[in-house]
Amino acid sequence: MRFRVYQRQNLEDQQDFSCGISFLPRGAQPVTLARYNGPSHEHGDIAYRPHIHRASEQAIAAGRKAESDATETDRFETVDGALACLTEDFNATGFKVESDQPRLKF
Amino acid sequence: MTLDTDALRTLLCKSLCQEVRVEPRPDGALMLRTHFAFPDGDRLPIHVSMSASGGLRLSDRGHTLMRISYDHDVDSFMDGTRGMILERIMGETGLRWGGEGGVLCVDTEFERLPAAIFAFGQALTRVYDLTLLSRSNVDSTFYDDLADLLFRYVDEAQIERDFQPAVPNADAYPVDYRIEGKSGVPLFLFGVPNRDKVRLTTIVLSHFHRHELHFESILVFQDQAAIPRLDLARLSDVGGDMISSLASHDDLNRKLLQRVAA
Repeated sequence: MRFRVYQRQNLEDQQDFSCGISFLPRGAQPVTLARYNGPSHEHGDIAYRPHIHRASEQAIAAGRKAESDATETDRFETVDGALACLTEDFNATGFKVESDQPRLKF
Repeated sequence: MTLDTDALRTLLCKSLCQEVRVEPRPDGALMLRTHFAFPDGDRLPIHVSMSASGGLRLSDRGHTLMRISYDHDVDSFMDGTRGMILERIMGETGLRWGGEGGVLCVDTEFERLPAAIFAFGQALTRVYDLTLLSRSNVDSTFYDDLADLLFRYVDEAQIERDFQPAVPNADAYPVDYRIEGKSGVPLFLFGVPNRDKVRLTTIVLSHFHRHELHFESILVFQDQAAIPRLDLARLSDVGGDMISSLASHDDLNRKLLQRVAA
């Protein structure tokens, strides 16, 4: 089985980044398993916060994009932090990663 | 039951005013909030700023192209049929490139902002929907699939990618894969996903023949049946064995075994 991991950082907008992992079935369209987004945009009730899209059976069954559902997160703030979370969540190895420092709460 | 148009007007005015609004992002960027969204539910990020002419600029700050790049090669996305359709969309909607970074934007007068909001949102949706023309993402896996097959059948040590043979202007005539052939005759393998590559491969092989290069060739198509007859005929005059698609991997294996050095 093959997978693709990608990172994107919009040079025009530091808040706009994404790190995703897709499953690549032979002879069929890729399926995004998860995408770790920066806070450049809104998703549903998530207002300009980092969020993670995850593929779900419900979304696919409903005819929506597999990764339509997203949850807000404070696990990363940068594209490198997003990659660190992805590799941790999917047990992906061979990447040089650096987690973001957790933001101190006052 | 009759429609209460007054109530409808009031509802639209009130709810659109509440839901379509200008608001600052936590980092201070001024955003236009709408219900336009990409298929995965992410809302279109629409940045608002003053335009050079004193009106307003609505911009995606490059987000749309970045999003397209998740599953597509952006360079090929802007070529061919999709490139032509993109130009048409831009012409029809007033969308334009805002500088070098793949930013899509539209400039408007203050008074025309409501119309511009809908036009911009619709335009970005049309641009993103070009991804539904699936050739770019199909092509993006063909070369990976070809590589997987080839390295399954042939020892990696016998394969050289992006080979440049000893001919004039060799860098303009690359070979996808050079494989150690029997009796010292190299085998050149080309992946041929589309018509453009058919034509390029024809030019490359013709150049090699003109300079009396000694080699054999195998041409592996993504879908040979999709190639126009004349392009195929020209290629068959200069090329060697052909494999109609990656589904014919047994035939590819057989033809490789016949030619590849043990």
